[in-house]
Amino acid sequence: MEEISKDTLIKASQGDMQAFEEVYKASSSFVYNVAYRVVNNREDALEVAQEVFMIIHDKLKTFRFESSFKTWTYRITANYAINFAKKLSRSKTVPYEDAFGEGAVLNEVETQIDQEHQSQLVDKLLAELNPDQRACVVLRDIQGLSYEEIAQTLNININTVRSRLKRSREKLLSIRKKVDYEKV
Amino acid sequence: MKKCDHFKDLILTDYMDGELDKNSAKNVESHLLECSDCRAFLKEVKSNAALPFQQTLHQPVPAELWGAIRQRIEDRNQAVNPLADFIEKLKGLIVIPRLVPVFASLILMFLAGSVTFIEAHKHLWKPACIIGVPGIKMLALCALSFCINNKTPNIAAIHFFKYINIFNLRVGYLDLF
Repeated sequence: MEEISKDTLIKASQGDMQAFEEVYKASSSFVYNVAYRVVNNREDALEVAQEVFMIIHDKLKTFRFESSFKTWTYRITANYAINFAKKLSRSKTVPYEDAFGEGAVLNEVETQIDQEHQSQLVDKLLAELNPDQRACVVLRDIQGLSYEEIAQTLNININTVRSRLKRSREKLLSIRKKVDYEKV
Repeated sequence: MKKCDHFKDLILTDYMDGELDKNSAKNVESHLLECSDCRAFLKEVKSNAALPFQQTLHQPVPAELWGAIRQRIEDRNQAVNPLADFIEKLKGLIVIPRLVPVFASLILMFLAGSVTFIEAHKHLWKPACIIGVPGIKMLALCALSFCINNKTPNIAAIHFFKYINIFNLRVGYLDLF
């Protein structure tokens, strides 16, 4: 996420739309991509991103610069997206067969595949994780946050970050093994 | 094998994510040099549980997102009653005093004036002096208790007790003139 000056944030908090557009431009890629990967579809990601920016717009007035704007935005985005995904997962579940289709798709990982397939593969892998695990994987492997930053963003202990990543990766490996086994 | 379990835990998390300190990372690397099973595990974790995410490109932000956000903010701003907004802004500029201290101040000012008047004109209007002084004393105490209950520093109260000795109602207010 790009840095935003304090001056711009203050102007945006006072209702300056031009300043708020600057805030949007600097943070929209992060917000949308985290939303997209955590809720795992475009329409819901648009809804989540829209809500996140409305929250940012409303709460900027009370932002006191005690934490960085970046961490604050990460926290709002990740928490909103996780809660949204949890509501979604209660209303619908993605069966293993639907998520993976033909098992051979995972074997494409080791070959050079085009970006569209890569993105679809990521969608399918993430669909196998619960929203909390998904958020950790997205923040770590897609957004490149450190364990400390993830812990601050999700307001959890650093050991919880570690254990969520461990379980996520074990699950992803077991899926791969299952696919290999089914293929034989 | 137990030793390998420990290293596999590190490979799955801290080692692969670069979260280990130099010494711990060196330990893992030394173990990897001598353990083909753990080397294979590292390769497997990287290619199946990390690389697909790390290699994926960021999704472009849909152009309609900003339009939708701006529209919602503008709609909401228009929906706000301009008069209510004006009053809110005005409230921020002017400090409207609370009612109780204001009334208490007014009572005290009135009493100060009354005592002054009675003391100055008692030779002209004796009944006022007879009925007024004990009543004024009571009202003054009530007004004082209002100020104390509201924990509000009250300028009128300060003036009142500066110029008037409440216990014998000697007037000092006239000294001002």
